Amino acid sequence: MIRYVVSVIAVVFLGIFQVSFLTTWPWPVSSLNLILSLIIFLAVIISYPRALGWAFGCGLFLELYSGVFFGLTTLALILTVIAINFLFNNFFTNRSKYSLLIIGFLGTLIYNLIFLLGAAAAYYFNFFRREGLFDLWSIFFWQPIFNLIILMIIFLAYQLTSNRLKSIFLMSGVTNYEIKHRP
Amino acid sequence: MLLAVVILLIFLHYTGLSRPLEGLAIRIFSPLQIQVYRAGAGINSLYSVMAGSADNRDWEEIEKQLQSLIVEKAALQTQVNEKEELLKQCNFLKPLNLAAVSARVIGKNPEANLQAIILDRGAADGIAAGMALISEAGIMVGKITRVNNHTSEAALTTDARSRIAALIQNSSQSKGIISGEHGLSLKMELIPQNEKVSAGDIIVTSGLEQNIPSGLAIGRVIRTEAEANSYFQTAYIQPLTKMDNLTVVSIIKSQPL
Repeated sequence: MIRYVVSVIAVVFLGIFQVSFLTTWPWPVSSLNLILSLIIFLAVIISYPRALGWAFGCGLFLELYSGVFFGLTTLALILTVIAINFLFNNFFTNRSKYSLLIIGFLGTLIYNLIFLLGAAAAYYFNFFRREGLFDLWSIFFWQPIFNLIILMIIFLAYQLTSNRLKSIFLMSGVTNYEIKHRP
Repeated sequence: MLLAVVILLIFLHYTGLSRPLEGLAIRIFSPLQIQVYRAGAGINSLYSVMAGSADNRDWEEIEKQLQSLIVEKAALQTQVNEKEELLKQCNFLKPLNLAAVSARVIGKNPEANLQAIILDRGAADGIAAGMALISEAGIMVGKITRVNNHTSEAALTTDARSRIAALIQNSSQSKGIISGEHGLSLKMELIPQNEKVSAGDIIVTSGLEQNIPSGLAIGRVIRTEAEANSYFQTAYIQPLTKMDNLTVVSIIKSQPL
């Protein structure tokens, strides 16, 4: 129960940080999507169900301030997590930083593609009118770059503070006594 | 399962059942967001000062004075034009009397491509889409695009979606629509080539839009471009104020009486 409460508070703080802090930075740094980066990291390195939960929570928070139709951001985040989980299970073998970077890049593209298609579909079916064009340069160039930088920072910070990503060598036929008393 | 919940929430949102809850959430988060936004804007300003020259403070002071002079000149110029126009029509000039409400910026739209700020005033405060936003210095910085009960979203003039009816304060009072460019600058297209536009000319609102009064200063022409074999030219405009660090704005609620 406490874990869920902590997660909800973390989601709110992360959302506020994204909406009210990162957006004050000058372009193109402001195109960084910290929430998407963190969700990709959770999906690849930590756990898929937790990434889904965060995608749902962060998506709902962002809906409050989104300029597109309600639900699109949450759907795009959840579908991105599902897509990168599929990619990771079928095309990658380990949780290395290279896997993370490639999936991070693909995940950012998938998210923005779903977002654009969703907005276009809503406009086409006259469900939600969104004036103006999308700045594709920001979405498909700057955002992947900054997302990958932040993903790398999160990965290195996690590697330093957790044992989960430390290299483990298995030695067959060697006892603990022999390892300890090796000359 | 999760997708079903999202679809249910979309249904609740569009039927209006979840709106009170959304409004409540925004009201709870707003005070913290104001502080976080101010901190972000402060850091951004500090960075801008550090990245600039040593005389930045003096320069900023001069820039502020220049801004206020430009605003004053633009307002006077508009008044002069209006007087001339009204004299011609034998009408009386009524003083500008604008009702405005101040709003604090609580964040920006999280979409990477938008230059849209979120304000802590909404329909409950009488805000409506299309109303103009001015900075503390009196410079037009944006237009309300979306209104919720207690918050609203405004596209800054530099936003790619932004379209404002404006005129250049040159000899021919060139009219046109200015639009945002990549969130950084502005441009006015389709100006006839025979109308002389020079660098330094001030752009003001033309008053052709329903909720936006005339004479609000927007920017200054930095260069013009005219393509060969074309009847028109394009003016590239620099906004008169920095949009990055806006923390308080005024929303103009009525046209001049």
